[in-house]
Amino acid sequence: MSIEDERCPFCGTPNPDAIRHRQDMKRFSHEFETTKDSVIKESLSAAQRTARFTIIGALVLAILITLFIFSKSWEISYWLETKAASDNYGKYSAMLDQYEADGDYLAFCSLYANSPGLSSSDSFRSYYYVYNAASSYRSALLELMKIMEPDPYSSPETEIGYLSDSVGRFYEVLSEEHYSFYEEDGCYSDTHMAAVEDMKVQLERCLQVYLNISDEEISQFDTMSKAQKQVIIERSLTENE
Amino acid sequence: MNRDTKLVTNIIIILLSVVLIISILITTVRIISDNSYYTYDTDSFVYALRSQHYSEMVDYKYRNESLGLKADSELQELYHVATYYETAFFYRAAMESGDTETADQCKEVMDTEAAGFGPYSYAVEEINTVLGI
Repeated sequence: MSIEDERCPFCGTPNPDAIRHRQDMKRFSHEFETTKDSVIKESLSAAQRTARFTIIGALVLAILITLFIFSKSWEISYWLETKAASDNYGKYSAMLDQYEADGDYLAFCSLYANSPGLSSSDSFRSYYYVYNAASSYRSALLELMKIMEPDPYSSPETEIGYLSDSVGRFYEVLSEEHYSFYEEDGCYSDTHMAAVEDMKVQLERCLQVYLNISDEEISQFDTMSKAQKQVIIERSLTENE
Repeated sequence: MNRDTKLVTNIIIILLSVVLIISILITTVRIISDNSYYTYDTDSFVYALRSQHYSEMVDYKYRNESLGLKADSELQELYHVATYYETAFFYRAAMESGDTETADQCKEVMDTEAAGFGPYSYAVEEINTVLGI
């Protein structure tokens, strides 16, 4: 007779062990189910807690990453622009070369200075010297143009000061030392040097015509100090008035 | 996990989500604004033209062009004024220094540009007077 048999298979006497066993099993089964439910409930709760804290952690991390990107937005934009300019080197260099060949130095200067990433990209370093000259050339020409225009709010002293500064800067670029690292980049190539010389001819011609500066004086502009140039410009403008 | 903890974590998640969305929006706007550049509109050109500050128009035109701004017909007319002024400036310089070849080239450009002035055709005379042509 086994523990599962409720009665003796031979004499039919009830098996007390089987009754107790059944009651025990019932109790154990109930306890098992209760424990199982409790374990499942507990593990679900733990999983939910873990999920929620993971979501909170992920959100905090995402906010920190966004704040980091926000604080570095200028650097990111700068990098993106520089990369875009380098990627479009062919297009931009063709435009710069064309402007340089046409003697359109204002357009050259504007493209180099204003097109995003051009002045910061290493790809365009060979244009640096000619841009430097074109930038001062542009300022000097625009100042000279402004002097011709009526402006009741601007004093002649201020205009003369701006023009003298711009002209002075142009000649400073012309006389600056030729650095070996720019030499390696091709900044002083024959084409670029010819363009800078052409700017000098154009600027001196405009200064002579619009300010009545003599040939002798303009030929000495190369070696004159900024103050000497300012005196000549000031005198010319006063005489013209 | 009791109900209070659930409620608190839910509120935290909602708040953090809102903060994240706002910070993403602000960062995107900032990156876009860092990548955008100021260009000059028709009003700026017209104001410069009325004040006879033609050199500003020249500067504005080059800036707009270098930034790839597509000019509408009105802005295009003002670009013609700016180009005319710049060319006329070089024309007088070439003329008075005896460089007739350059002067002739400039004159040709000036005539072409003057034809595109539209309603600003009065500016030809004004510019010539300012430059002493």
